[in-house]
Formats: sequence, C-alpha cells, structure tokens
Amino acid sequence: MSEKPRHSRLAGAGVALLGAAAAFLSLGGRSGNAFLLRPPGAGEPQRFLSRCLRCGACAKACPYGSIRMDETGLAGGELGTPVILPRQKPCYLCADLPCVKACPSGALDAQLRDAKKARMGTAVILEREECLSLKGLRCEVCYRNCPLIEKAVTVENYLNARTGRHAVYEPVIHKEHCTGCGICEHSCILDRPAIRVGELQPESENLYEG
Amino acid sequence: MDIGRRTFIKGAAAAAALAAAGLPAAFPKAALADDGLTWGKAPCRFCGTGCGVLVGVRNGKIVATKGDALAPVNKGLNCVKGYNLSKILYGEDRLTKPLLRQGDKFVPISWDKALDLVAEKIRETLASSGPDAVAMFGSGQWTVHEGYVASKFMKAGIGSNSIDPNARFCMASAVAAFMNTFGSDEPMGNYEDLDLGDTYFLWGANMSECHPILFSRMTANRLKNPKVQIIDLATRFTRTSQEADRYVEFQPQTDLALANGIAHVIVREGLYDEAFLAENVTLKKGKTDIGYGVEDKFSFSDKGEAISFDQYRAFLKDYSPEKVEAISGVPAATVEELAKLYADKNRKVCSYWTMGFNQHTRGTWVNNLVYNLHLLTGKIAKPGEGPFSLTGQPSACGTAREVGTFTHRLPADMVVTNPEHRRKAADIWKVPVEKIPAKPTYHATEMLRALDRGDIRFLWVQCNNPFQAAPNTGRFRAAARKEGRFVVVSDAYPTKSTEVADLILPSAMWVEKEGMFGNAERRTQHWFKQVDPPGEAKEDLWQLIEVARRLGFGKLFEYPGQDLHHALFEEYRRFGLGIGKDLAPYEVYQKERGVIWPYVNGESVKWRYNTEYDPYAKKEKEKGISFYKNKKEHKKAVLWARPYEPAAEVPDGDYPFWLCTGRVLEHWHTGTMTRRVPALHRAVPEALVELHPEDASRLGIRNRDRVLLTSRRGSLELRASVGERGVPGKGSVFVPFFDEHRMINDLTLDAFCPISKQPDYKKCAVKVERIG
Amino acid sequence: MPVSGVVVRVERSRREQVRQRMEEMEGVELQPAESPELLVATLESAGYRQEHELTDRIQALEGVFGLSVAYHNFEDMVEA
Repeated sequence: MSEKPRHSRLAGAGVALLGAAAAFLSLGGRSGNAFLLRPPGAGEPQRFLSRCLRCGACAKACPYGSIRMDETGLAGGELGTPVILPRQKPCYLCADLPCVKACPSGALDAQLRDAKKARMGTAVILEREECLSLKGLRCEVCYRNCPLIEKAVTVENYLNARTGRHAVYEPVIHKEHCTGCGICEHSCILDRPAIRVGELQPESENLYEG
Repeated sequence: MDIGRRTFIKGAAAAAALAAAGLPAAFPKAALADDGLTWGKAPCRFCGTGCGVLVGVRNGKIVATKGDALAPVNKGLNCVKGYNLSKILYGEDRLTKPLLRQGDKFVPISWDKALDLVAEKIRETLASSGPDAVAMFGSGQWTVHEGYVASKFMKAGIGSNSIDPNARFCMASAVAAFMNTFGSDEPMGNYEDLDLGDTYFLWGANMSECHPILFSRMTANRLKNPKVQIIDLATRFTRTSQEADRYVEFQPQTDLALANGIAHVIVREGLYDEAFLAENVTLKKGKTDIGYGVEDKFSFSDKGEAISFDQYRAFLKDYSPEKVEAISGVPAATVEELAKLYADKNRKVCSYWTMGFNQHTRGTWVNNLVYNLHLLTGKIAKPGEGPFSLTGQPSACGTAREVGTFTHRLPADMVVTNPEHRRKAADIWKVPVEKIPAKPTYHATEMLRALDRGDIRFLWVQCNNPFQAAPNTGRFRAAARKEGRFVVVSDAYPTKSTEVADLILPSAMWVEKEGMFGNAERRTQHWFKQVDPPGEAKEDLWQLIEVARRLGFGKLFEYPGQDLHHALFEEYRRFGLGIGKDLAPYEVYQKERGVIWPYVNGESVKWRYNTEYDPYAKKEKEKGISFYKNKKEHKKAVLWARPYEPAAEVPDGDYPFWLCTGRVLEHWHTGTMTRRVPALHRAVPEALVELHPEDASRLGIRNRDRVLLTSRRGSLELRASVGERGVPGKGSVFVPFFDEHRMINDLTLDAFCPISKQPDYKKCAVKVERIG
Repeated sequence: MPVSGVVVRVERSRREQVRQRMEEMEGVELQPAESPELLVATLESAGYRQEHELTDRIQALEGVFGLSVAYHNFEDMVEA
C-alpha cells in the first residue's frame, strides 16, 4: 500500500515517518484534508474539536478497539483526537454507547441514546466502475452486513442488459438513515473498497419525485 | 489472436499433450514462460448452480478467474465466492505432505509409507472384522472420476457397500422422492424454466444467498415480465423474502401441512387436471408414524399401498385451510390464495426448494407433497412449468447421485439389492457378480455411529469435512479418536476432520486435476488440469488407485494405452446409455460448456418425459408426458398421500427455541476454502445467532450481545444478530455452520428422515441466555 | 480459432503412414515425440465444427486406435 502525502503541517518539521505512524497513515488511506470518521455523538467538527479533551476515554471504552487516538496527527486531524478507520475496524453501534457514556466533556453528546440515530457520516459508492454488484455479480455484501439493512441501504434491481437474463442488484444508500458506521466499507470484497464513509450529507432538499 | 500469442498457445497445447502422453517436452519449459496468460474453462468449485468460469494461469499459478461469458448458466457472472476462486488454492496452510499422527502431533511421512499403511490397515480390518467394517465417507464435491473410482474400489475391489457421501446430508430426501415418485433421479426441467415461467414458489430455500445467480435469473424474468410472482414460503425472513413478492411464514415442520392444505383446496374446488391424472398418475399411501432414526441401528422401509382418488380426497379432509392454519400459523385465506395460484390455468408454475425440504425428518414426504401439486395440476415437465429440486453441492448430482456413491447404489439409478443391476455392474467392471455385495450397510449418519460403536474400524474421508458438518458432531469427533479405529482424511487444508484423523493425505484441489462436475440442471461440465498441486499433494483418484494396487485389485483401474480420465469416463458412461441416463462422449464435454443429459443423437433433452423434447418419451406416446422410467408403476408418476407428523425434538419448557442452521452467501459449507480468502473472511468473520427482535427484547439481548445457546447435546457462545440480514420466526434462532470456532453441529440432533436417512439440520430444541 | 493439443494412439506398424497422412492435413502440426505407438500434435481450426471434422478425419485413418484431447484453448472465441 502506498503512503499518502504528509499533512502540510509537518512539511517543515523534518520529522521522519516512523513505522507505526506510517502504518497508521497508509492503513487509513486518507490524505491530509480528507474526511475523518469520529465516534458516535461527535456531531459538527467545530463543536467536537472545541470540547474534545483528547483524554482517550472513548477509545478505552470501545469493546472492539474501533476508536483510535490519532497520536501523530498524521491522519490529518487535530493531534490526539479519536478517529475511526472503518477499513481497520468499523463502529459496531453498541446499543449502550459505551464511548458516549465514557466521554467526560460531552464532546460525544450524551443526548445520543440510540446508536442507530448516530450520524457520523454517510456511505457512498465512490468506485462505480469497480463495484462488483454494479457489474452484475451477486455481491451486495455491504447491503447484507448493514446494521440498518433495508433502511440505510436497499437493493434495486434492473435487467443486466449484457446477459439479458440476469438482474443487477445495485446497493442504494439512503442517507437519512445511514449512521456512517463504516461496516459497509469494512466488508467490501475488493482490495480497495468501492463503498466508503464520507462526510455527512444533509437531508435532500430536492423537490423532484424519484 | 496475434501471431505471437498463437505461437504461445500452441506451445502450451503441445506441452500439455506431451505431458499427457508421458513423453518429455521437446523444448525447455523456459520457452513457455511467456508473460501471457492461458485461459481454461471450468465450472465453479462451489454450489450446485454450476456457473462457468475461465481460469487464467501464468507460470504455473492461477492468477485470475473471470466469469465465462459463453457459459449458458451464468453468462460471465458469478457471486463473490466465484469471484474469489483464484484465491482458494493458495491458503498459507495448504497440506503438502502425508502426515501421520504420533500422539498429539502429526509427522510427515512419504507417500509410499502412507499408502502402504492405508493398505495394511484395510487388510487388518478385513481380516478382523470383514469388508463392512472398511468404510469410505465420500463427497458431492468429488469429481465424477473420483466418485467412480471410489465406488468401484469399494464395491468391486473391497467388496463392501460401506461407502456413503456427504450428499446424504444434502440431497438424499430429494433423491428418495424422485425415485419413489418418478422411478428416476433428478429434475425433469432445466434452468431455462427460470426464464420462462411466471409463478415461482420457493419452499424453505434462501435462494438469493444460496443459489445467487439462479435467483438473479428469476429476478430478471420478473423485471421483463410484470406478471411474474415470486412467493417465498419459509420459517425465516431472509434476503430472498425481501425480494419476493410475497412472504408466507409457517411454523417449522408444518410445510407438510401447508402443502397438503394447498392440495386440499385444489381438490375441493375441482381445479385438478383430470385427464392428466388419469393418463399419468397413480395414487398411493405409505406407512405412517415412522420414527426419527435417533437410535443406533434404526431401520425402516416404506411400503406403498394403492389408494383411489376418493380415498385421497378423504385423506385431505384433515388439511382444510382452517386446520392448516391451526397447525402452521398460515392464515386460511392465504392457503386458499396459494392454491388458486398453483392451479391458475393461466400461470406457469415452478416450485424450487433445497435444504428446508431435504434436511427434514419427513424430507421424502414433503418432497412427495410438492410433486403432488404439480401432478394434480399437470404443470410438470414443460418449459417454465414444473417442480425443480435445487442441488446444494457442485456435483451431488454428477458424482454422488449419478455415479451412485451410496451404500445402496450403483451407477445410473441402479441399486445393489437388484440382482440384474449387480450383474450389469459386474459385467462392465469385469468382476465376478458375487464380488458386489447385495446388502446396503451404513448411510452417512449410521457410518459415524458405527465408527463410535466399533462396527467400523477403518474410515477414509475424502473431499469433505464430516466432523464439522455432521449433526451431533460431539459424539462423532470423540468416536474418531477411540482405540482400534483408523481414520484417514484426504483434504487440501487442515480441518476439524484432519484434526481427528490418524493419517492425513494432501489432496489436489479443483483445477489441479482433470475433472467433471454435474450441476442441478443435469449439466455435466469438464475441466482440464491447469496447474500442478503444491508440494506432494495428489488427486484423490490417484490415492485410491495406489491403494487398490497394493491390495491386489489395481487392474480395475488399468486401461493400457488409454488416457486414464478419458477411459474411466467412457467406462462409466456405459451404465447410462440407452436407459434415459445417457451421457455424451468425453470429447463433447471437453469442448462444450457442459451438456445436459440425457444426450441422445447429439442433442440434450431439456425437458425429460415430455414427448416434444425427450426421444424416450416419444417412443412411448405421440404427444404429452410419459414417465417412462417408472416401469413398476406402469410408467406413471406416484401421487403419495403423506400426513403431517411433528418434528423429532420440539421446543419445551427447558429448551424453548427451535434451532435452525444453514448458510450465508459469502461462505461455503464449513468454510475451509472461503475463510482462507481474506476478503470473504473479512466480509463475514464469524457465525452469529439470529433472533427475532421480540424474542431478543424479551431476553434483554441486543445486537452483538454475547449469547449462550444450549441443546441437550452441547452448548455454544455466539454473538447475537438482531434485525439484520435474516430474521427467524418468533421462537426460533438461526446459526450458519461455516465457522470452525463455533461448531453449531455440536448442538444439532442426528434425527433423520427414515426413508432417505437425511438428517434434519433445521429443527431441534435449544435454550437461549444472554451472557453479556 | 480453437487450438488443441492431442495424443493419437497408433498401430506400431502404421505409425509412419499415419504421421505422413497427418502432416498433409491443414491445421495439424506434429510435435517431436519419441514413442512407437503415440503421435502428438497441435490442431488449429477455423471453428468448432471444423475442429470436430478434423479430429474425425484423424480418427478415421487406418492404423489409428484413438485420439485424446489433452488441451483445448478457445480464448479468442470468448466474448469480451
């Protein structure tokens, strides 16, 4: 896996990339200004960053080790803040939200009581040309693994024009329900996932019928 | 194709032919280390759909696979298991040497020593306990050649009927019902029925996950034709249910009542095809209250008795829609609607089923009952119309069933109990007829029990994993480790079965050997050997023949001057010619994307028993349908009156839940191949226990909480899955069996259908407790 | 244009005859093979029908016991 470009803030520091840091960076696969997935209840980035004490309590509380403290700042965010790298370990939406309960400052908003109401980001199929389902294969692993199956993601069928006798099963994300947990990104069969969690998308204001 | 590529291909062709001829290559191998890929065709290694793939080889290694666009089954598409075929041969822990147990360890030994030891153990067992004590546990994932050699090895070489395949766990009920209804195994239709019908009933089959490409075809039909309806009849809401137009939930085991209920309405309303029944159907009833096979040495044979249509009508009185509602939970009005759909003269109806029907303590009965619906309405053996038994394994049809690697079987539907059949086999196999034993010995479950009891002392397992896949595995794993048993396991990877073996033999996989598989639609497909197996791994066929030589019957497998695989097949082919099981000449399979049997006068019979398509039927009558294989029923199909009888182990106060087991799309069977593909393992890393949200809530269990599942036979910790890809009915839980760290079969019960001897993996009783 | 590699089993006394007849057939390229009772060749044909005809013709030659296909490549018959 290739290294991603260094974050600009380190450009002049002459800091060598140590093994762990490089691994953190390359495994995460995110460049300096890319979207960062925060734990449930983080809400708006400004709000979150102003309250986050970088104490690491949420990461300790997470039973899966999905929350990692960005010690190096190389993930592109503020130094020492918690991030989730879905391709490593997604958020499994624990029903009792131990991360939120552990947060002392309210950076992870305690008003979030239902993990399925978390809005950490929105999944999107970025690599339409690579997605196996869109090529007509029977994949849809992202759909089958989604904890909000049939709400945050459905499949829509259309005829495979090439074979004429099979159906394409296209996974379609419904952003009003997507929590951004990243299980889809984690599950994608491809070496580089075709579906990824990105910035939270606002509700549609498009008035046209679908 | 450009000239350089063409030259390369010809070089590869020449090298392969020289190798086949046993002659040295005229040019050094280096000349062939071109950067190009060669592509060869093969059927997929996984399910009974039999998708075609192209395997890309470079420098002796598979580097790519892709869907075969010319394969009629899938036209270039695959599911994600098929997509990852290029990876399944290259797990890190591939077995490469024979390994002999020494205490708790395994040490490598030479092939000569290993094969000598196998022969010695067989000789010992023959001397001390007789041929019945020498057993072979075979596979619906064996190639046709392997199954044929194994069957001949046992029945003509050793003189033992103690061979039975894992297909006993998969399709036996379907086979028994084909035989007692039609006198011949395997469906009469083919996959084109998916394109041509308009009303699809799925009975207890999660087709979307277990036959993904076939379900894709059914869905495509619906996209093209708004009339198409897919009705999912099941005990569990799956992705198939989601896609279906209608989901009808019934209580476990009550498919028997539901099917009879539909028949009741059809008969009551006079919606049956009287002319068809008169011409083609005879009615019978069998024994009732037939037990569950839980006891060792359980024995049962059915006895059919002719009944009249009026008696059948009287029998159906117990299955009025109201009575069916009380038993099954399906509303009476729904039963009426389903019957009207089945009988609608303007609808082309197909029924599909797999394990929900077959892995059932009354599996043969319920298969009979769905045939009844098609016999009553005359919707059978026609394009887009008919009952179609979906096969689980890639060659349960082509190998286990057609070659007959069962205790009671010989090739081409023949049975050891019939002296005529034994004579024909003896003739083709060139052995004295007395060599072939006349009495069946052990079906798969009983074989494992016999190992426990010591009635079997030598067991050779090939190409499957019974010590994870059998029901009630706790008993059988212990059995394998008892004194005085010698267990040999031939496999490609370490498994729960190699774990309990005395001797492990490394096997070649898939395209590391020449082979053929036969899929659910009677299409047999061939592949050439495309890469060498790793280390010292050898194809199962070679292992068997080497032992045969050491035991003195190697000549059964000698075909001087002929290519071995070719010769084996052409000998096997003789069994089915002229009797409606005709296979094509070997060269045809080598060239084509498989052909469907019967293959008569250069053409495949797409719809058996139909005079328009089947020359055998045409010999019987000018027009219509002839069930010509059912000679003893005067060439008629049998409509069997079969009642509802409850399951073997029903939930009660101590164990209040039904446990059902099955598969997920991403993994195949016991996961020995798919879990070694990182992408598939990552997609579904562990087996979860599915619960209905109401049950979960009542027990305080949330998604991913840890749960303890306990049956009378064992106990297992699993994480819960609530409201995800599968939702069992209330009072039921579901666990897939691919995960060797979560052996769900330690909990299941080895109760089986007394007729087919197929175990019921879908119903036993468990309790569920939250542990954190 | 399918390409195959074949092994042809011949009567020893007629091997040379068969070899010559095969050399004359279009699309057949004999491979050096040190065996008194086998001939090894690659076959190229325009299509499947022609390929079947070619193998039939070879099998019909006097002195030929049988023909086995060891390799079959049809990659340029495959759709994109």
